[in-house]
Amino acid sequence: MRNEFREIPKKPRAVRHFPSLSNLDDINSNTKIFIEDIHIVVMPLSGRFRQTTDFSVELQGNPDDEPRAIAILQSLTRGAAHSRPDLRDLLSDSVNEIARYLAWSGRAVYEIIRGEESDQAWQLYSFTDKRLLRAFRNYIQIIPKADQRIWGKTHVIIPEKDIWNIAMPQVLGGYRGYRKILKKLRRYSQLGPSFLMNETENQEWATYFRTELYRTEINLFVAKTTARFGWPMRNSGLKIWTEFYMMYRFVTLDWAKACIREHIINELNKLLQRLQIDTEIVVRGLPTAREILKIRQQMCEGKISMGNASDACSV
Amino acid sequence: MRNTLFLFLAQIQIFWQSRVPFSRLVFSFYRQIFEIRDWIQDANTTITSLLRLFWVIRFQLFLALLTVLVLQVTNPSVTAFFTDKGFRISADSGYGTLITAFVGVGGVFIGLYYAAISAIGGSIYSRMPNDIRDLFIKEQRGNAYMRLLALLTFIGLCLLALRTVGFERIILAMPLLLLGAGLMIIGFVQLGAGAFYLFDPTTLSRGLLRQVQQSYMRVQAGGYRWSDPSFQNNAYKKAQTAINSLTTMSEIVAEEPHLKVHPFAGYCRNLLLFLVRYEVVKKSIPTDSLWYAKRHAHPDWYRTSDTATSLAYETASGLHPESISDLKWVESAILPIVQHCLEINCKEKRYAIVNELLISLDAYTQKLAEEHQVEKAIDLISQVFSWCKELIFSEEEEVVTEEPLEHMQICELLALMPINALLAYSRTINAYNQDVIHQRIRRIKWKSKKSIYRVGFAVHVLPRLEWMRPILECEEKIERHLISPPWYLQELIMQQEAENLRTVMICFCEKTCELYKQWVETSTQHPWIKAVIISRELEYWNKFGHHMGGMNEFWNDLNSDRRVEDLPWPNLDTDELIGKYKQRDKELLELISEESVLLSLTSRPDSYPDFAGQFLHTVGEALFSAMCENDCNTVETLFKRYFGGCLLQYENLRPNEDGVDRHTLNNLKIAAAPLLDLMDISGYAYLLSDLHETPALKEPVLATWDTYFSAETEQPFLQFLAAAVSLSESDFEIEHRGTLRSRWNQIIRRLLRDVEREEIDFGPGVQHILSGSETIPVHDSPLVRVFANSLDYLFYDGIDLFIAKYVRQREGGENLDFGRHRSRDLEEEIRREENRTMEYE
Repeated sequence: MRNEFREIPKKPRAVRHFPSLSNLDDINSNTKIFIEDIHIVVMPLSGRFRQTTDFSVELQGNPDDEPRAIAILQSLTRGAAHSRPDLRDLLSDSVNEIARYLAWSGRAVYEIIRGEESDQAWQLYSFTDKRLLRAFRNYIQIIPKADQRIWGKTHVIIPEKDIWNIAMPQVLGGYRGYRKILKKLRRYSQLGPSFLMNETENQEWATYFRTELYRTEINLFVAKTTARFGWPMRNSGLKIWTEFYMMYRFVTLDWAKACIREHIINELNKLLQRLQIDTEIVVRGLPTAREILKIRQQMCEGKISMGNASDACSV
Repeated sequence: MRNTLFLFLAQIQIFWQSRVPFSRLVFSFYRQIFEIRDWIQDANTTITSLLRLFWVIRFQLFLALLTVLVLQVTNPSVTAFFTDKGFRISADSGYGTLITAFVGVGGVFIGLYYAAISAIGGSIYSRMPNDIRDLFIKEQRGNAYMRLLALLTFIGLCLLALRTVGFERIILAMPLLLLGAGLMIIGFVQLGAGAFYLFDPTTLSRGLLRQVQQSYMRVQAGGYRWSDPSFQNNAYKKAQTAINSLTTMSEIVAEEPHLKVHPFAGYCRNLLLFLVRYEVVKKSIPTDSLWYAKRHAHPDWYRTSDTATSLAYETASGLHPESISDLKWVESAILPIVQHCLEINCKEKRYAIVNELLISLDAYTQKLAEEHQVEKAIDLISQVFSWCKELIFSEEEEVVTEEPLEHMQICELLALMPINALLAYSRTINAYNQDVIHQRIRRIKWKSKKSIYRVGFAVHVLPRLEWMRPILECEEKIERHLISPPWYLQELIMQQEAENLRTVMICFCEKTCELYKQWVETSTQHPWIKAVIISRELEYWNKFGHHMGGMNEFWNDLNSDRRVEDLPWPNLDTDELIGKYKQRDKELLELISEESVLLSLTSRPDSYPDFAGQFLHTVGEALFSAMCENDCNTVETLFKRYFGGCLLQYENLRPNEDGVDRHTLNNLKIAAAPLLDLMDISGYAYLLSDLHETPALKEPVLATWDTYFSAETEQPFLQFLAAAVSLSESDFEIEHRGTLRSRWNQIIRRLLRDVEREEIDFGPGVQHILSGSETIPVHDSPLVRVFANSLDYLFYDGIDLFIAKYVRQREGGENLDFGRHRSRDLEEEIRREENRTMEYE
C-alpha cells in the first residue's frame, strides 16, 4: 500500500524531544509497567489477528482522498510500517503508536506537515509535549537551555491550525486526570522508602520497619490509584485479591483500552475532516467499550464464565 | 485518606522508629485496662462465692433469725411467767459482752480454719509443685469466707474500742453483728465440711480449667484485645501454665493409691468435658492467633514477594521463617492424661471406670464429628482402641472360649464409637447445605475482623475466610463496594466444604473399614470379642449405607451450580466408595457365616448375646437376597455355611429331655425353625434358578444337600425333616419364624409379577361372563408358570417346592408325610404343567 502520489513534504518546525528533560531512569517500576500495560495491544498487534478473525478496517468516502488518508496514517507509524500491505496493519500500528504517546504523557501532539507545493496536509510529525504552551492561537515550544545547542534555537512557534493534539479520553480522567495518576504512581517506591534503601545498602536491617504492612499499603494505594483503568498490577498470585476481582480488573483494563481505541479513531476521523479529507475510518469486529461493560456485568452476575469474559473482551 | 497519610508518613524514618515506643505505650495502656478488668472479674468471683455460701446457708440463717424473732415477740408474754418461777436475766450482760463474744468467735474460727488448712496442706500438698500449692492456697470459697470473717471480727473490735473510749452504744450494730455471727457460725460448718474435699487435689483442677477457659475466651473473636498478638501470647502462656499444672497433677494423682481410682477418673472426665466445650469455641479463634503454639516453616524463595526477596538479598540475611499454628496443642496436651488414666484402669481391670471414660471419649469424638472434624475423630478412636488393646486382647495361645463380660462391654463401646461419629456427622450435614452457606456469607461484614468467626463456619473453612477477609476489605477500599459477587465467594467456601466432605467420606468408608478390619484381625483368638466387633461393624455399614445418601446429597448440592471454571475441585468417585463398602459388606457376610458356625459349636452363657443366631439369621437374609438378585457367587460362598449353621442351631435349641408335654413340643417347634428356613430357602433356589434361567444358582444348594446325605444316613434324616415340618405346622397357629418366611414369600410374589403374561382367549361365549380378562404367565420353566399363575397369592412356598423337587425324588422320600398342610398338589401341578409343555412342543 505504498502511497505513490505523495508530494514532498515541508520540513517540520517542532523540536521532537528534549534529551535534558528525559527522566526514564527516575520512573519507578510501577509507573513503567503501568504505562506499558496501558498502551500495549490497544489495537490487535499487526500480523496477529487470529483471535479476532472478523476484525476489518475500511476507508469510506471519496476514493480520491484515500491516498491522503493513508499518507497521514503512515506518518503515524514507525519507519517499518510504511510497507505494511494491509490497512488493518496500518491502522493498528498507527493507533498503537498514538496510544503509546498517550500512555507516557497523557496526550500526543503532532505537527501537521503540508506539501511543498500545495497546502494539503500529508504527514503528521510527533514531538514532545514538554514545555509546550498555547497562546494567541499559536503553540509555543520553549527549548531548555541545555538543548538549545543541539536544536540551534530557543523556541518554536507553530500556528494552532498546524497542530493535532489528542489527549486521554475524558471517561478515563482526561489529560489532567491521567497526569495525576502518573504523578501518584511515581510518588512511592514498591520496594520501600528511600531511608530503608540507604540502610540496606549499608548492610543494616531496620528492625522497626514492617515490610508486610508497607507492602499491603502500597498495593492498596496503587490499586486505588489505577482503579479507573483496572490495571491488574501484573499480579499473578492471589495474595492481593481474589481471582474474580483480578479478572474484573483485566476486563476493566480491556474496557479502558477500548475507550482509548475508540477515542483515537474518533479523533483521527475528526482530523481527516479538519484536513478536508473526505474519508472516514471504519473499524469492525473489535469489542466496543459498551459491549465490554455489558460482558463485565454478565460476568458479575455469573452468566458468563471469567475465562469467556476475558476472551470476549481482549483483542 | 488513611492509606495516603500512612504512605506519606511511611517515607519518614522517624515515623517507623516512633511506632515501636508508641506501640509499647498503647500496649501498656491496654494492659492496665486488662488488669483492671481482671481485678473486677476476681472480685466478682469472690462475691459470687460468698453469695453462693450465703445461698447454701440461707435456710439455717433464716431459721436462726426467725427463732430469735419469735423469742423476742413472745418475750413480754412469757417474762412474767418465768419471773414468777424465779428466772432472772443478769443486768450486766450488755453491749460490750456481746461484741467481745462475737470477736472471740471470729478469732477462734480464723485459727481453726488455718489449722485445718495447714493439716491438709502438710499431708497432701507438701509434695505438690508450687503451682498446685498456689491453687490450694487460693482456694476461692475458703478465701472469700476468711476475708469476710476477718472483716467482721475487725468491725467487732472497732465497735468495742469505740465503746471503751466512751462512745454511745450503736443500736444498728446489733442486727448487723447478729447477721454476721450467723454467717460466721453456720458458714463455718459448710466450709468445714467442704475442707475435706481438699484432701483430693483434683478438685482444684476446676480452677485450672477455669483459667484455660478464661484464656481462650479472651482470644475468641470479640474478646478483649482478641486480635492483639501480645494479649494472644499472654493468654497462650497462661493456658500453657495451667495445662502444665494439670499434667503435673495427673502424674501425682496417678501415683497415689487413694487418688488414682475415682478422683483421677472424675478428673479425666472433666478434662474431656472441657475439650468438648473447647471444640465449639475453636471455630471463633483465628487460626493464626498466638493462642496456638507455633512452629517455624521456611518459605520458598521463588514464592516470596519481590520486596521481601530484594531486602533479604541486599542484606544477605535470608528470608524470615513463617510461623505455622499448631491447632491441636491443647488436645495434644490433655489427651495423654486421659490415655494415662485409661491405661492404668485397664491394667488394674477397673471396668466401670474404663467404661465411664470410654463414654466420655465417645461424647468427645461425637463432638468432633459434629464440628466436621471426622478424620480427627476416627484417628482418636483408633488411638483409644490401642490404649485398651492390652486389656481386651491379651495374647493367648489357644482360643478363648469364655470372655469376661466387661471385656465385651468395653469392646462394644469401642466398636460403637465410629457409629456414633457417623450419626453425629449425619445430623450436622442434614441441616447444612448451600442455602445455609449463602445465608452465612451474607451475614459476614468483611470490614469487621470478627465477623467471619461469628457466623458459625467450621474450623476447616476458617483459613479460607481468613484469606478472603483482608482481600475483600482491600477490594471494598479500592472500589468503595464489594466487586466479588456472593456466588463467587460461596463457591470458594463450598470448595473447602467439598474438600472436607471428600476427606470425611473417605474416612467413613476406607479408614473406618481399616479400623474394623484391624480390630477383627486382632481378635482372632477371642471369638466372642470378634463377634461383638463384627456385629457392630454390621450395624456400622448398615447405617453407613443409609446415611451415604445424605452425604451424597450434600456432595451433589456442593457440586451443583459451579461457575468458576478453573477452581481446583476435589474429585470423589462415589461409585468407587459404594463399591468398596459393598465389597466389605460381602467380606463381612463371609466372616459372619464362618463365625456363625464356630460360635454355634461354642457353649454360650446366658449373659452373652446370641451372636451365632444373629449371624445365622443375617446370612439367611443375605442368601435369600443373593438368590433374588441372581448372585451365584454369594450363594456358593454362603450356602454351605448356612446349611451347617442351621443344623447346629437346631442341635443347640433341641430340648434335651424326652417327652410329649406341651412345653417340650413347643421347644421342639422352635428348634425346628432353622430347618424350616433352610428348606424354604433351598426350595426357592429351584424357583429362582428357573426364573433367572441360571442353573448355577441352585447347584451349590443341591450339592450341599447331596454331600450331607452322602455322609449321613439318608432315610432317618428325611423322616426327621418330615416330622419337623409336620410338628411345626400341626397346630392352628403361625409357626415359629413363620412371619419371616411369609416375607420371603411376598418378595417372591413381587418378583413373579414381573414375569411376562399373556391374555387367555376363552372364546366369545365365556369372555363376557368373566369380569375382566384373564392372563397366564409366559415362561419356559413349568415351575415358574405354576408359581406365577396367580398374581395375588402364592399357593405354595419354598418348603413345598423343596419337598416336591428334592425330598420326593430321593429314596424313601416319596411317601413321607409332611403333615396336612403339605399336600401333593404342587407335584401334580408341576407334572401337569410339564406335560402341557411337552404337548405344546
